[in-house]
Amino acid sequence: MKPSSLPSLRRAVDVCLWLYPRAWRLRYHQEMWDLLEQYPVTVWTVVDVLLGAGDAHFHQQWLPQEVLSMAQQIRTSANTLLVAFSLFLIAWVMVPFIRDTPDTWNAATAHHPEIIASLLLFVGAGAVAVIAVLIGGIPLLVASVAQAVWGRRPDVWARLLIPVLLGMVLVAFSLVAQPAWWARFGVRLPTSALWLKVGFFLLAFLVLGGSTWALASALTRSNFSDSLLRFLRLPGFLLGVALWSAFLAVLALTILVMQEEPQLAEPGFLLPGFAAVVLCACGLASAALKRMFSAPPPTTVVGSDA
Amino acid sequence: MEGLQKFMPTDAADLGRFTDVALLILLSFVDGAKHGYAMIEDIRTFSGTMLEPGTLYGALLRLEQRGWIAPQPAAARRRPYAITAPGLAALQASIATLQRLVTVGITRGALA
Repeated sequence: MKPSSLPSLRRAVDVCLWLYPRAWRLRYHQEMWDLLEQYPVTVWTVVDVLLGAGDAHFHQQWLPQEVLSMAQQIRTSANTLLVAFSLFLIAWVMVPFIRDTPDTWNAATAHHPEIIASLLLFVGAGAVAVIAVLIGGIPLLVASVAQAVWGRRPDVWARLLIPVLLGMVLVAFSLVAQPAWWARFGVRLPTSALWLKVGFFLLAFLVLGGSTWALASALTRSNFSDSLLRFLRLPGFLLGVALWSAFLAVLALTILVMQEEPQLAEPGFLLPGFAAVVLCACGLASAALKRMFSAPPPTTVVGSDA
Repeated sequence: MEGLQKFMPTDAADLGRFTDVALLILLSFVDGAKHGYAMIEDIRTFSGTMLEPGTLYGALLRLEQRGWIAPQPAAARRRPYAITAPGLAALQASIATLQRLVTVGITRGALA
């Protein structure tokens, strides 16, 4: 058997190896890379390695536990919590738009004050979630920035700057999207230009997604003390409780509105859709918390955490 | 079917699609420790099955975590693996089952 003469396939399979979970790579990457050097790589090999990476992600219980140190488990969980929070943020920002037409809202809630109560509970739970993320996130961010500055880590710097740049793009777009801004140049925009609203929301989603990825990536590349990582369990737990409370509140709100005042939520799939988004966030957060609290104590750690 | 039950549904139930591959790998280790590429070559020789690396390492991961194989000190950059006593017991149970299946097949004229 001779190795494949197609370097593009070999490169593709090398890239696929990086898709395996970190715990797997720490243990098997070098071995499989050596094997692939001798192996005649075909398209099917690339597909097989890709499937293997997916399998490793879906069956993490088989991964060598000794290389998943407490620090790695908590850091990975913190990243998952960040993703869960970003997902929740979409619903948290959008659901209060249910009050967008004051007359309809006031008339509906005059008969059903429980709708106001469930919305307030949802918003309140979201505020607790924000506080939890700030409690956990600010120390991490400070430590990460300090390492980026003192450790001269351009890779961390670049990732920390991405949310700032994306935020500036969003602010610039929201300014440009104002009809008054265009009026300076003699261009008259209709005040309710749909494409501007749609564009703003699409851009906001992109900014949220890009910022989440950049922050998670920056945190992954930073080193934190064990005490700081252990501390994350507290705001993590608080975030989990807040997200589940928010889900119960938005579920109640959805049921009440659908049954009593369906005119409040048009089109009808929006509120159930946001409830589903919050449920997804709760699922992610629960999985992350389970992993965070099952992390072994540092004394049993074997392997690198660099 | 006691042997098959011993090997398949209890110990190996969660090996899933890697069950057959695991059997081939364990069989390959009977005559000594082997590294990844030597395993693939040996299995291809005795069974005609060409294992792909992703599948091989999916099965190796499970066998190692189960304690049926153990990594040996690396030679150069290659790490050989060897079968353990529980791995050998599982392999023997599986082979005994297969042997009974073959006997039944011959007795009932399946090969005629």
